[in-house]
Order: sequence, then structure tokens, then C-alpha cells
Amino acid sequence: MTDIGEAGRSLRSGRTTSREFTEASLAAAAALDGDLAAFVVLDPDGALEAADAADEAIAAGRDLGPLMGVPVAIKDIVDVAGLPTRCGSSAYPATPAATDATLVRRLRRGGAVIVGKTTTHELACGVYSPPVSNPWDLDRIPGGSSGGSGAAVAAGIVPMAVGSDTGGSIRIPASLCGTVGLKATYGRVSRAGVAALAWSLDHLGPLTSTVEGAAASLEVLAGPDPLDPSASSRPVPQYSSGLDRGVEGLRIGVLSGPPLDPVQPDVAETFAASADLLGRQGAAMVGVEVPELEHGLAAEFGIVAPEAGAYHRDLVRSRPDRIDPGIRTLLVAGLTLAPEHYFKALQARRAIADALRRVFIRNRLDALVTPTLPATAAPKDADDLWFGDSAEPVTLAYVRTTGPFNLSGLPALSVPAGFDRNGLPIGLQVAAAPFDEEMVLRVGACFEAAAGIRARRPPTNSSGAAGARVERGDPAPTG
Amino acid sequence: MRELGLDHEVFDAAATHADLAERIAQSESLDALLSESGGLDPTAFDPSWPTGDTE
Repeated sequence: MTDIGEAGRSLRSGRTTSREFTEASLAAAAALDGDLAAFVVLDPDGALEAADAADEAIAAGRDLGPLMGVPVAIKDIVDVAGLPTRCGSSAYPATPAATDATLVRRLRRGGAVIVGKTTTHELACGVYSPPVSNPWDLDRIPGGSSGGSGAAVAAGIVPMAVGSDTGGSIRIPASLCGTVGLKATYGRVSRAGVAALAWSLDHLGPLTSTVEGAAASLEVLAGPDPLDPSASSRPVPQYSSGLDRGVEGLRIGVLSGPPLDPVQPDVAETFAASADLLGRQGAAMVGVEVPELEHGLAAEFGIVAPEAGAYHRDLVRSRPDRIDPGIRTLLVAGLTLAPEHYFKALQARRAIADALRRVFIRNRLDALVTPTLPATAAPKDADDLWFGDSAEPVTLAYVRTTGPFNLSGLPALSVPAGFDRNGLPIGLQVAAAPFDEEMVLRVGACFEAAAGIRARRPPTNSSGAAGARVERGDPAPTG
Repeated sequence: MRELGLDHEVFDAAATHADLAERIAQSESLDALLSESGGLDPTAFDPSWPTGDTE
């Protein structure tokens, strides 16, 4: 499957049809999903009907937007009318959702073709997403909780899949699977019709094969929504229009210190090379530290536990035996801890958000870069990641670099940056000021182009795919 | 736990207490961060920054 930009150009020029794209997507899912388990349900009839409608619109000269006629997939915590929302849990009923989530309505209105729903880690609360496999190494995790979305895009089954992100659940699978992943500012994409993990930290966004695809997707997904009081009423810019502006004259912070200690050596090398590459494109790279981020994990889980416990309280009481023991422990903690701990975590969240704001303003930063994650994809059976002689639980290691941008609500993008010595993808994270998604996309697009990111695809992929992939096999990008 | 309706046989009281102790310790670790800003209003989070903010 080609990327969104190329798909749009091909459809509008008449070189291909949405039906052909959709049939290719469904065929790729049929061929690959036995290995990947990226999908929990496919909807071939609904997809082909939508594809034919898109083809009719194109033939009639109507343009519904950048996703018109493009096959997409939806994480299985988002309501799609006619399909069940199981949230990766046997405790959730298989009855179909009656209505679409707001973001699904936006996609349909924009002519997108929904081919199916992707596997999520149970209750969107984890980074393993079993039984999904990473297309780069089937014995390794795809990340999570939007693991099915990451695997589906990386394998070229669809050029865009929707994910959710409470502590990194878009950016973690994006980094581990070698795709682009965009968590926009809190409130930029409506959460109405989406199962919550933690209301005040939950974000929705796209995983895509290119930065251009992420920009196009956000144009469709973003916007105000009376059904979600947290949804911003700010106008939605045309994100795709500024992607070629480069980084000349920008000031970009390069984070060191907490929460980046420790990181795997190949990740450190790739991050340093990535920052150097942005500098050579004309940006002023400014070293910064945010010591307050040392407390990010305590604040993150201090909020997730009580909010998730409250959201799932009926499930915990009525069917606790249907919940994974580790998740059940978190939910029970959320229901039993004294409120003071929750409010303290919320205060800490505000302190961390203020610290990030001060670093941006003091240093006159336009953007901030970090490694998306301190490590590449863990083996499926690993409890810990190893950094030299020290072990760290897989979940904590991944969330410590992504979670700060959930706490602050800032937009954050993961873009492929290179590979480790085992050929596993490494991501670069780009963050910016609130609602400045144009900046993270602009920096990401410049980096993507300069790093020579092209069509290196994972071993498990759709034949004939042309989605963008990092071509190099060594740890560092060139430019 | 029973008072909270958490009386299913899968609940392990000892394991729950151990987990809570760990979470409370994590919460207490935040005191260092909040010692200089403990008066922050924790409610109504808004990701926007003040207009014309110079710190």
C-alpha cells in the first residue's frame, strides 16, 4: 500500500481507483495477519462500499479531502457503527456499536475507507499488545497500546491507522515498528465515542507511513466537538501546507538528563546523529535539561490509576476475573488509594508542564527533540529491558520518554530515525508548544527528507508496498 | 476492599497492600517536586500557555 500523499495523487489522476487500493489492502491483511494479528476484525463489505462511493465522488469531480478513497484502520477502543468495540478485553460485549465516534464520522465524511479495527493492548493499558507481532521481527513486541495500528501501517496493509496515546501509546508502536506517529495537543482530536484509559491524559491521533500522511490525517481528524468538552474550538490549520519550509533559522532543544538516562547505545548514537543532521539543515540546536522530568513516571501512573479505576469501576467489581492481573492491580489501586495521592499527581503534572513551558520560553525554542524511546523492540517474553548491567521493566522504560508530553499535553511526533544493530527501528521524538502541530510536522518532514528515509520495509510486508521506510541498516542517519 | 465492593475471590489482599505501599511511596517521592510549588491548583488542566508569556 502506498502512502497517503501518493495515494491521493494517484486517485485524482485516475491512475488507480479506491476499489483497487481497498482490495489490495484487504488482500494484504488476509496474507499477513496470520503472522501479525494486527486486526481484530475486517469489514470487507463496508470497505468496498465506501471505496465505490469514493470512486463515484472522484468521477463526479468532488474532492472530500486528503483521505478520500484511502484505506484506513481504527484502534479497537474507538466506536465504529456496526462493529463491536472490545478494547482488547473478553469482558467487553461483542455487540456492535450503534454509532460512530466523532473521529470516525470525520473520516467517513472525508471519504476514508475503513477496512477494519486493530488490536489494542487490553483496555489500552500496556505496551505489549498481545498477540500482535512486530513486522521487523515476529518474536518481538510491536509496542502499545496501539500495537495493531503500528504493525498494520509498518507492514503496508494500510497507510494510516488511528491510535490512542495516554502515556505514549501512539508513539511507542510508531517508534518500535518504524512508522510515523502523531499525538496532537490535548483536545485537538475529539475523544467522544472512544473508551477512556485516563481522561485527562488520553489523546487520539494517526500512525502513518510518512509525515505528509500524518499531516493529512490530522487535518481530517482534528476539530471542535460539542460531544467532548475537552475538544478545542481552535480552527484547524492546513497542516500539509508548511511541510517543505525546512528548519533554517529554527531553535530546536536537544534534551539530555532525565528522563533519558539510561538509553541503549545505538539509540544514543542515532539520537546524536539526528540532532546533528537537523543542525546541518540550518536549525540552531540548543542543549537543554528539564530535571523535573525525573518525576514523570510517578505523576503519570499517579493519574492513570485513579482515572482508569473510576472509568472501569463496574467492570472491576462485576468481572474482575476477566481482567489481566497486572491491569486489575492498577485499577484496584485507583479505587482504593486516598484522593490526596491523585491530587498530588495532578499537581505534579502541572509542575512538569510548567517546567517544559519555561524551558521553551527561556531558550526561545521552536521545538524540542528526544529519542522517542530509550530502547528498541523488546522480545515478546521479556519483562525487563537491559541497559548495561541494569534492568528496567519494559513498560516503565518506554513510558518515561513519552509520558511527559501526555502530562504537559504538548504535541509530539515520532519519526523513523534509524536502526539498531539488530535491524530494529529507532524513532526521533519532536515536541512543540501547545497547538503548534505545524511545527512538529515541519521539523519531522525536514528530518524525514534529510535522513534519506525511503522504502526500506520490514521482512513482513505487503508486496508492492511503497510506504516510506528508513533505508539504512546502521544506527545513525545521514544527511 | 469488601466495603468497596471488591470481594471477588481473585482479589489478593496481601498483594494489593504491597502494591498500594509501592504506589504511596511513589506519591511521596513527588513531595520533592512540589515543595516549592505545592499550591498549584490541580484541577481544570488546560494545555495552552498564557498569551504573551515571558515566564
